[in-house]
Amino acid sequence: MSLLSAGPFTAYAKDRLLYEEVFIEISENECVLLSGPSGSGKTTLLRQIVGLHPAPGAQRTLRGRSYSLRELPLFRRDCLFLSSEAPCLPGTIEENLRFPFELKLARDDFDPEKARTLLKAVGLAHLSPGQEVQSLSLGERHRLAMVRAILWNPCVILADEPFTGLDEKTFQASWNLLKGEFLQRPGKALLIVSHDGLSADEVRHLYLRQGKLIAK
Amino acid sequence: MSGYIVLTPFDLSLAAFFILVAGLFSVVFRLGVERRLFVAALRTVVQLSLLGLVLEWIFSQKTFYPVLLILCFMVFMAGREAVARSKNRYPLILLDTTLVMTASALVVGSVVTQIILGVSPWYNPQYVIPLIGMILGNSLNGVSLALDSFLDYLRHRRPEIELFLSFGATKWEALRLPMRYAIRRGLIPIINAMSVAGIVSLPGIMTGQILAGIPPIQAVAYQILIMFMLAGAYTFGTIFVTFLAGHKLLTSENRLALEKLT
Repeated sequence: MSLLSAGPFTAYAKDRLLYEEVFIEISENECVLLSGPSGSGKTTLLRQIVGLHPAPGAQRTLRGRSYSLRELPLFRRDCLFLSSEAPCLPGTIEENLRFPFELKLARDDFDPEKARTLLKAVGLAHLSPGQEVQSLSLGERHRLAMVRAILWNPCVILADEPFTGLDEKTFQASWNLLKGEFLQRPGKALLIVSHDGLSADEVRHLYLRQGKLIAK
Repeated sequence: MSGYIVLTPFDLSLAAFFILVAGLFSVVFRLGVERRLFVAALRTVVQLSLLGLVLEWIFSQKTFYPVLLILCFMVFMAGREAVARSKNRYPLILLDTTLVMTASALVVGSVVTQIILGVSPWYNPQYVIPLIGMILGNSLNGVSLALDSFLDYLRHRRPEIELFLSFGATKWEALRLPMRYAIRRGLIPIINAMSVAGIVSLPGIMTGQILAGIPPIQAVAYQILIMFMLAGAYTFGTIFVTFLAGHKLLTSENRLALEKLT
């Protein structure tokens, strides 16, 4: 049985059809790699899954429970979307890691100790929690978002180009963290949009091309 | 002590001498503003004279209809002006600003005229029209500043708002920062005005009342009332308008609908 299933999704860029009637299914402990030519609509598809982009008629089921449009906040809590822009809020590193835990739907409390361990694991040990985020590079922001996602501990992480701006070493460290620290836990799954070479035996590869989602 | 010096047309024509001098300067130094200066001066005379005639007529009426009519007109104009210079718009924005102006005039206006001043009869135009006018004029300032800042924030900082939404934030959790930013911006003019009142500026109402022969302490009392009233109008207007705009642009399925912004 799949952990996450969502669809059908159809999207247009202006008047051009991007894709039509696309369904996404992901099983437990599975990592799906979504790729396709630029402009094929990968980002739009992720945004439609979490409802940040309108997706009329789409159904979303997570762990056997289906979510109505009004329940999207609940769905998003457990199916976390990481934007390719890796935005930060003005403020410190710690504030950026902590803010979701102050939302009404938050399940756990923020764990600063765990945060420090994870920051170290992705090669951000040189950052101090009280530091302002303005000076961070794109690669650092992506890793910060990844650390926050793992702390948040959703069921599914949908990551849009999470390895942008990383060198070989930090890419490996981040990928190992997602794979080892997150994906191995029970009831978890990953969907990654990426151009980087994730090895074929670790992922199920889906390809978005000419308006269809195909297995590769 | 009361009474004021009556101004005659002759006095005003002497004052018009300033306009002539300014125009002369413009011609001599080729500033090229003499035409605009004369048109503006003429507009001042015509518009204010018309207003004077209308007010004289309304003051002489013994019913509330004309007062209500002119108030409606003022509210509508204020709602329109609040979005006139805004770069960002969304469908039915005019309805929202007019609603805010109406509510502002009703809530703040009735507290001041009916409860604090207790004017009689309740529509007494001598108090109601200038006070509501001031509420609208100031509320309008705050509303347009706050609305524009709010819409700018949504447009330019969309990723930050969607970051909140991604973690399952509710509508108002996601809008807390933009609302705070917009309301703060909207309140700056009145906070400045209250801070420097009497030090840097001699507020207009007070100046006017002193000229009209009211004892300074009473003029001060009126000025404080006006300032507090305007602070109320600013606060009410900025909060209400960002609330309405947020409600429109963050849809019921918790999606930031920027496509509505033009």
